[in-house]
Order: sequence, then structure tokens, then C-alpha cells
Amino acid sequence: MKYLTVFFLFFLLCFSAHCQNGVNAALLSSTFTESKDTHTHPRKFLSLKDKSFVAKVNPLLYVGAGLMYFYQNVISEQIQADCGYQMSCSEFTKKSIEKKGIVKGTLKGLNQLYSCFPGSIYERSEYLINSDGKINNVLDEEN
Amino acid sequence: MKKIKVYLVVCLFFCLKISSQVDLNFVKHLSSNGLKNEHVSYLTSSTTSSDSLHYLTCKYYLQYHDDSLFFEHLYSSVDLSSRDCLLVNAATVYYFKQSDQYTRKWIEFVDQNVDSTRRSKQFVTILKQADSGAFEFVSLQLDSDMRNYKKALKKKPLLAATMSAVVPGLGKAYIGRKRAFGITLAAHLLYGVQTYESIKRLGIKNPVSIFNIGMLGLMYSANIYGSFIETKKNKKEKYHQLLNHGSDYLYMDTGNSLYP
Repeated sequence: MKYLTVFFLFFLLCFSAHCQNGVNAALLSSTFTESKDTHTHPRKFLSLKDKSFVAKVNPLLYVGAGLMYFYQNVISEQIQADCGYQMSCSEFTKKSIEKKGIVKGTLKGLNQLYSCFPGSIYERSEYLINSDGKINNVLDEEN
Repeated sequence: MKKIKVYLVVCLFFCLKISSQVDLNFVKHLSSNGLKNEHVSYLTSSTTSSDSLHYLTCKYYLQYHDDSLFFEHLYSSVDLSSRDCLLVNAATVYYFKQSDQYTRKWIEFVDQNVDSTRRSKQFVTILKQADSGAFEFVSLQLDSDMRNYKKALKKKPLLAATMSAVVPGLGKAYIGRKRAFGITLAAHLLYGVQTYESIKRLGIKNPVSIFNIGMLGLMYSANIYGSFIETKKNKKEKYHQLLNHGSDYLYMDTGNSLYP
């Protein structure tokens, strides 16, 4: 009888452990399902295509790009930053710097940051809002 | 004599039929069934170039959204293309939602070549007169968009920048973005207080204070420059919003089929 009780308890423990594992597995699977991450594309450190020699050897460019790369790949991933724009503010700043230069590019990027809050979509035109509820700044720039 | 006449007419009919370059019904079949490759091979198989061939090729490129080739063939068949109301409607519906370059090109084409009885032309005429005369749209949505566009046209980028220089973010409130104004002002106030505190406690020569002053200066400059460019962009945004709703309205009214 004593053995039977021990066996029963062992069985119960195993079962509960199994149940626990099942619950954990279900929890894990529901928590870690493939998310719609907007940062799926590998972010380039720098694109030096069509840049002049001076631009290529400019140390400021490497410092700036390095800081942005660190932010995008380490900090942004950790804080799960979710930008209100289709092209995130950091990516937009990088592209603006590439296109317009360090001064105008930085100012444009910072300016977008001022408008990067959840309610900003209500102040923009309907056609600029994409299906994810984000502002399509790519189209905005094209226009 | 009569028999000879009939014979001649029959011969002429067959000759025309044989020498005709494209079979319109077959093109319609290719288009409605989405046979893209067959469609283009059929149109390019003809060795001679004619107005009607350009016209059909232009329709093909409109259907499959190749903008530059569409315009190339459109300008080679202006007479035929501008008279086809299905083509004009479908292109208006499509190009009103495209990027600025092609939208402008299409509006220019409609303005210069399309008959004034067409709805697309009437729409474009109203758009062209946005600066001056009165306007009247059937749709309330379009009316409101037009008013917004006219309001945006009156806003001056330099004034917005000056306003932002006086009170951070005020230029954004000037173009109608009150929330952005609140956020910009709050960010400046918070960072300003922090900078003031660091100067007071650590002294102006302290690296932290120097960094804070630099950052505040950058934020302030970005706010002024941002108000300037946002005012400019706001005009285009309202214009494209009007075009987008216009496109929806025209689509609802006419559909976008290319062949009768």
C-alpha cells in the first residue's frame, strides 16, 4: 500500500509536470510566435556607393554611422522601439544624411522624431496611412 | 456594272480586313484574361508603326502599370487616346494615386488634349483653378479636401519657421498639427529645464552642460527647419489627398475597364 501511494504520488507528480510542460509549451508557442517585425531587413552599416573620396575617408561619417548602427542593432532591439512611421526615424535620418548631407539630414531626422507619437496619424492625410496604421513617409518623400 | 461594283466592294472589304494590323476583339480577349506575354507579343509582332498600334500599346502599358512606356506611346497617339473616355478615366483613376512626377504629367496631358465634356477634364480644370475662382464638387469629401488644399496654399513656410523660432512648434500648429506642436513644445521645455539645471549645478564649462546646450541647439534648429519644410510638404500632401479622393470618386462613377 505504501509503495502504491508512493507510485501514485510519483505518477501524479509526473502528470502534473507533464501538464506543466504542456502549459509552458502552449505559453511559449503563443508568446514566441513569429511576430510582424518591421526590422527584418538586415540594416547596412553604411552605403558608400557613389560617394566621393573625401566622404569615404571622413571619420565623422564613420562615427555617426557607427552610433546609428549601434542604436539600430542593439538599443532599438532591446527596448522594442516601435516607430509610428513606415521607415523608422533612425533609418529615415540615415537616408536623409546620405541624400542631403549631415546638417540637413540630421535636422530632418530630428524633425520626424518630433512627430513620432501614436496620435500623429490623425494629423496626416488619409492616403499616407498604410494598412499597419503607420505613416508612409517613403511616399511622402517621393511626393 | 452593278455586279462589278459589288465585286469591287467585297474585294476592298477583304483587303482591308487582311491588311488591318490588329484584331481589336482578340486584344480585348488578351486584356480581359490577363494574358500579359501573349498580349505584348501580339502588339509587337506588327512590323509597321501606326497611330492605332501606339494607342493599343499605350492601353497595354496602362493595364500593366509601366508608366514611362505608357507616356511614350500616349504621346505617339494623342488623337486616338485623348478621345477614348475609357482610357482617360482609367488613367485618371490610376495616375491620381501615383507619385508626383507622373501625376503632373497626366494632368498636363488631360489639360491640353482631352475634351472639356469629359469628367476627368472637368476635375483637372477645377484643380487648375484652385488658386482663384469658385469651385463646386458633387462630393462633400472632395469639397472639404479642396478647402483644405486652398488653406494649405495660403500658408507661408517662412512665417511658419519664424513662428517656430519664437515658440518651438508653433509653426506646426500654424499648419494645423496641434498635437505635434504640443509634443515639440514639451520636448523643448523639458530639455531646456534639464540644461538650465545642469548649467546651474555643474557650471557652463562642464562637458554635460556643453553637451546639453549643443543638443538643445540642435533640437531648436530642427524645429525651425522642420516647420519650414513641413509647411511646403503640407501643400503637396493636401493636393495628393484631394487627388486620391478624386480618383476614388471617378472610379466609383465610371469604373476602370479599358475596353468596351
